[in-house]
Amino acid sequence: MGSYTPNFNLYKPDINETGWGNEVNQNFDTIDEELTANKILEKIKTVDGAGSGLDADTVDGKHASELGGTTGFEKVAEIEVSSNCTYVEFTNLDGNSDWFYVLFTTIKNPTGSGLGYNLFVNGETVETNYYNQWINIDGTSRCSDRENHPWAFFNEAGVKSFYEVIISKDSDGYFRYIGKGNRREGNNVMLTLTAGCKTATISNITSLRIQASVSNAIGAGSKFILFKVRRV
Amino acid sequence: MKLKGFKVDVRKNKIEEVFEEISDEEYQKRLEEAKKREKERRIREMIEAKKQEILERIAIEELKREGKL
Repeated sequence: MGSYTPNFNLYKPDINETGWGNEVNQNFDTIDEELTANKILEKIKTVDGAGSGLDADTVDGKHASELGGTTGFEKVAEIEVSSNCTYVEFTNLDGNSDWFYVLFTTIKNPTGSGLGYNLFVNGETVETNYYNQWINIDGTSRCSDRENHPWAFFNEAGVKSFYEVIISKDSDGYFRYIGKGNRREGNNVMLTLTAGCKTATISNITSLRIQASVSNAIGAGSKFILFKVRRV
Repeated sequence: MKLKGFKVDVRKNKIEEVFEEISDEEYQKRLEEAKKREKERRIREMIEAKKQEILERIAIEELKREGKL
């Protein structure tokens, strides 16, 4: 009479035993059943955990939900404009939950005039309810001013540009943005910095609208991608 | 005047082409204001560039006079 293994209960015939063919076949069936992916996973789970050398669903012992915002930006939405238009609006945002947004954009100005692109919040499109402070660095020349409208971007006629804008509502409820831009080409490349603020407080950021001051001045091929920094 | 826009609903992940109607008079007013602002910026930039040029010329003359250039 043979014996049985402790884990899978496989039969081990005695050295002098004969007629154990059925037991060996039973062993094969048992092994076949136990080596499925699900069974292996269940077995691994019994030894996984801190200090196991595996700890498979955590990073440094923490689950993803415990890592908070340290895991990077999360894309909110993106759009590549298919035909010239005047504005692009992101709706259904929740700034109170997301805290900060980062907008990356490349804008083409297909018109024959230089113009600004407003950054409106919550459908508030009265330009004089915002101020912006900008500085352009163009070769050795620096130029700056404060103006009574929310031009977050500016493009001369036919010019293409690239901007990154951080957007938030401060602790007192003021809508604010700060952007940096790279516009014009080749040996005319220029650096632009801009900061904007709304004159009155808001309770949340629910929409953001980038609107050209001249119709159809957001050219086809312009791209906008909005990220939120906080993961909740 | 119809202003064409794209509305991106971030919750529904839906992009919609939309049109906003404003009166021609209102659009003309906005356009004039935008042109005025653009012109003001252009003038500001020209003034600053000229200031820089003049300052640079004076600085070079001063440095030459001091024998540093």
